[in-house]
Amino acid sequence: MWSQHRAEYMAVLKRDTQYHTYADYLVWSRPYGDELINGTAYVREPPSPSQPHQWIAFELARQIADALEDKPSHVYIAPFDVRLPKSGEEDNLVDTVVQPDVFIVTDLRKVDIRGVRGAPDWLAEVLSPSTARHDQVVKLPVYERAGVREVWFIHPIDRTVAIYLLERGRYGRPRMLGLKGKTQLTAVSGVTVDWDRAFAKLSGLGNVDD
Amino acid sequence: MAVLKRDSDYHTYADYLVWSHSCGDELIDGVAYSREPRGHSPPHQWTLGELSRQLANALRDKPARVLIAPLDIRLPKHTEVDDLVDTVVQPDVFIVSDIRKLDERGLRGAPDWLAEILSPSTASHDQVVKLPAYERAGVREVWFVHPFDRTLTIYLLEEGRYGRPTILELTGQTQLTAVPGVAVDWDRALADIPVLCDGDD
Repeated sequence: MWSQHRAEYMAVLKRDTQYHTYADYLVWSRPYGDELINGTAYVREPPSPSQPHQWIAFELARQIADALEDKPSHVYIAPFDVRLPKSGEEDNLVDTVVQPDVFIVTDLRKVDIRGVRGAPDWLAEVLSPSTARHDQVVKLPVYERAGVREVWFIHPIDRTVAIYLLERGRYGRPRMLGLKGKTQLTAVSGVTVDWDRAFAKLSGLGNVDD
Repeated sequence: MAVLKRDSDYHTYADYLVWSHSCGDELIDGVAYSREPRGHSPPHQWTLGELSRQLANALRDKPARVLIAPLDIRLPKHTEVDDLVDTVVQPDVFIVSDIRKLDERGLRGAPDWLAEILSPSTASHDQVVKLPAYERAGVREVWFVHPFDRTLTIYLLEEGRYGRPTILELTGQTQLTAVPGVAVDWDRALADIPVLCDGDD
């Protein structure tokens, strides 16, 4: 049903106006949904991500994990902190800490007890109305600066994926695809996502349909 | 709900005129697409109406025209006659500054600026299929407005190609680049947008 009442949009909000580092993030952050971008703290409001969001994130991770089973690369799902230092600063001074929905690390020396330090090779953000702005407007420039080779923005409601590839240190125009058939990862070889399989059980779940 | 291929034939404007409905049918490089169902949702139409109103108000004393769907735009590849044109689109709203492009059939040639309001049924068609057609035709600026996600994706033509889009939050005002002196006030445009009462993620 459509109404004329203004939407109470969930959102990712700035926590305060202070400059934060990983050292104080460790003190106040909750296990899921808090991030630091260039020292600005963002907190995600409840509720938790929607069912389509969690379904697609999980299906994606499952297919990737299956494909990488006999390889040294790891696939991780949120919440898992990725520290993105600007140069060689120690962890306590790092001012950018993100939690991508799904990501792959091929260089396992980046993985430690606290999470990951340095850029994943590939990552995906599953967009929802509450995070689409934050993911595409705020986080994409950070992934570019950190050198994430490939970023997928998956829109489970619109059934699209926008693929950004790093070329000479910059993202160009994204490749836009409909979520059907299969899509191969570029930054990590031998991994393909089967969208029809990923969405097979999702159809019928309540989502925003137009 | 989706935009579907009508068949596997190659079509031109000549036969499009025979079978097309007044709204929701398009030709892209000879492939016929139909939107099912043809109507749009309240948020789509609300956003379209508000956007068009603001543009028309800003251009009131200027020769440029603001036009809204459904209106056929023929996008010829070279100078072929209308009957042979194989790409006919209906962007949600567009601006034409060279009004000689307008005729009784609609528009022949690229608008200066256009916007597509994205909805789940059309987002893939608009961004995957139509964007390359707009690039080839030389549309200088394309806006994809996402009323649910509250994002605006702007493609600008540079040396005949769209580069990396600018992605903005739908808040404050956004100025058009291809048509000077026109800005959209999103807070005003979206203030009373109809929303889903529940199940709205």
